[in-house]
Amino acid sequence: MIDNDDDLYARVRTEFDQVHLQNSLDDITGRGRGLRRRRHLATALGVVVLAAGVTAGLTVTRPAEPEHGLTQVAAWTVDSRQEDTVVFAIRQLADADELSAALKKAGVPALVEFIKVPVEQKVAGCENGQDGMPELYDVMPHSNTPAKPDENTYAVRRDLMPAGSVLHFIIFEMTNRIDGTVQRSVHMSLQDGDPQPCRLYPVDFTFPE
Amino acid sequence: MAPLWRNTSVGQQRAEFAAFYESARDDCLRAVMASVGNRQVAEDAVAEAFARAWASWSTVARHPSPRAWVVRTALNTHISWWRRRRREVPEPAAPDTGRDDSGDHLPDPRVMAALRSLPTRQREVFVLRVFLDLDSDTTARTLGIAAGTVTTHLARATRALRAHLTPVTEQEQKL
Repeated sequence: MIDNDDDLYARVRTEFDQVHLQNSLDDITGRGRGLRRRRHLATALGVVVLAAGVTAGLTVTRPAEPEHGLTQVAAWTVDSRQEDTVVFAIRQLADADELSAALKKAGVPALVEFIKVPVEQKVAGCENGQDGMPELYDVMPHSNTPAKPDENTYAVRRDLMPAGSVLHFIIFEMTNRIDGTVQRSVHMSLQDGDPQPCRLYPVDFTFPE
Repeated sequence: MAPLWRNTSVGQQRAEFAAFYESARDDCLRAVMASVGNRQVAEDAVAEAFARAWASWSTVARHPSPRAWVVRTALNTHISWWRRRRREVPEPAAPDTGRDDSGDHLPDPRVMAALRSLPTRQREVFVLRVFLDLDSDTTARTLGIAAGTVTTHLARATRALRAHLTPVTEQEQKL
């Protein structure tokens, strides 16, 4: 009998005692150097493209300064009165494009999508899902703060968003075929550049066994 | 003198990272392996996460828990891996059994099965609390959820694991 929680945790931990990471430090730091080189190369390319644009006489526009204020409609609210954090609250799944625009104005480039999943859909998700950036967990340290029963609140650290990144925020709404209850799930990711709008899987798609 | 100063600084950074890597590598691998259920997948993801940590060490070193950063990044790398393959729901990779190529003993398949039976979030909370010994607040920040939710997930995970593992233990005692 596993009498208490500590015994249970010890039992699980003990099972992994013989598991060791084999990679040498040189292997890890070598891979890290490769990552740095790719990052610097991308930055250098950006500078070259920018310089070429200036030389060609193009007007380079700076991103607009984020506005501090409160935008409130029936379906949602965007509160950007704090210095670094933008808080948005969703009450109804409506006016997604306007919400994207309000977030952008508040300094959070975002693509917001509200997707009603057909009842007969077997898998709710984007067929064209993209890799996300790990910085999401710094940008949105708390994924959802329930404030009121009919409202979900999300906080975004706009100051921590990497340059050029865009938040992709999707709410899927599904109706349970059996009991008719409505369920929602939220997908959040941080994309390097513009996210691709979600394309649902085909209705009868299922994952291969 | 500038180059010498820079070399010293890089040398210090490397020494710091080396100490961190040595102290955290096994715990991070165990946490990720317990979460994803497969040794090879976990090892790839953790090595990649440590490489990213080294690439951004000046930032990661200031993180409240660099080990949590590595585990979170490794789990995210794993998610990216299946997203690249257009799988919306992560199915556990083929479970490991027995002994692997490195000669390490692998965990009891019953423990692995019990961990796999947990919902993803519960499993993530469990591994961060149990393998990295993080407190609720740091776990919450790492996963982007509320501290109260961490407590709830850990309690549910603990209850479920006990239910999975206790009968087996009792049977062993009877034998």
